[in-house]
Amino acid sequence: MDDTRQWIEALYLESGPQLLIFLKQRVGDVASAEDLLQETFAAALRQADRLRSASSPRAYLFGMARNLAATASRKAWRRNQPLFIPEPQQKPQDPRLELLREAMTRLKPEFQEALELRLRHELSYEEIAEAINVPIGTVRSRLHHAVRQLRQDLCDPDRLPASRKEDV
Amino acid sequence: MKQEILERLFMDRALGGLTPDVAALLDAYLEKDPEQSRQFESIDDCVRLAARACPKPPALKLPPLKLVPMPAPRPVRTEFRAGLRILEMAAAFVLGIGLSFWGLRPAGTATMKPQSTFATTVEPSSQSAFWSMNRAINIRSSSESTQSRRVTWETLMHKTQSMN
Repeated sequence: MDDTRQWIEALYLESGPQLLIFLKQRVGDVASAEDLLQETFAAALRQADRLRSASSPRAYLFGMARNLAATASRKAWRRNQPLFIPEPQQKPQDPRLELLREAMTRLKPEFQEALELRLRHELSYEEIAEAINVPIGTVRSRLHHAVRQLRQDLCDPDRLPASRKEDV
Repeated sequence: MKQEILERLFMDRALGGLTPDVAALLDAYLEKDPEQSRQFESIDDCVRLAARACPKPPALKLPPLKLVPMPAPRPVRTEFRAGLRILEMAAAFVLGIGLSFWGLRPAGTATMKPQSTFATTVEPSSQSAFWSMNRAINIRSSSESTQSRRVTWETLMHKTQSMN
């Protein structure tokens, strides 16, 4: 039992910061993200056997955090609270960057999620598959769809909203 | 190689989803084909831009981990165990009695009472009984043989005439 606890604590130090960022993105505020992080690791301790047998414990923790965040978001929605508070961002120098940011918001949520896990949290294809509990082929396909759509949005100005066409 | 397959390979290469040996092979291929190389550059540029569009937020201070000690399994109370034992014995007793009653029944006995049967033969006494067919026939034949009673009605006028 002490070994398991030490192992979980080591995982916390290793993957905790990334998970905290991930959770903050999902729930909006740091306090809720910290609570969810504690819950994630408490659940990890309860499911230590499953965590040990996972191909990537980090990906398994991401999956658990994702599920807990989804539950918290549903509760927040019921209480009529905002689900996601985007961070204030500086206006980028590159107009294409702003354009791409907007194009990313128009992606399907599952494509967006796969792309964010790959680019922001640097999870491998296998880890994304473990985290979101889908086959690796699905992850690959989602990423391809996302990149293809982003390219189309960048290349084809007609697909963009009128406000953005002037920037290109 | 089909363009579609190549495009997928380019996307995987740009996203870092290829193994190093496959990536090296693809790079060697692209060096020989400038047209395909341009297309890969376009995809790679899009992915790099997307990576810039979703940068890593600044690291947050990690709070100390507070793992709640798992509660030890509660021991089952001895009184509860004794009660369970008594209950088991009582159930076994009742079941045993029930089974023995069921098993000790004599073989072939019916559980239903025999239904009462109706007599199909007519008793001889019924020949002359009140509701017997014979009696009905006898009454009919006797009435036919005797003269039926005639009902006559005389008016008062007739009566006076006859009196005169």
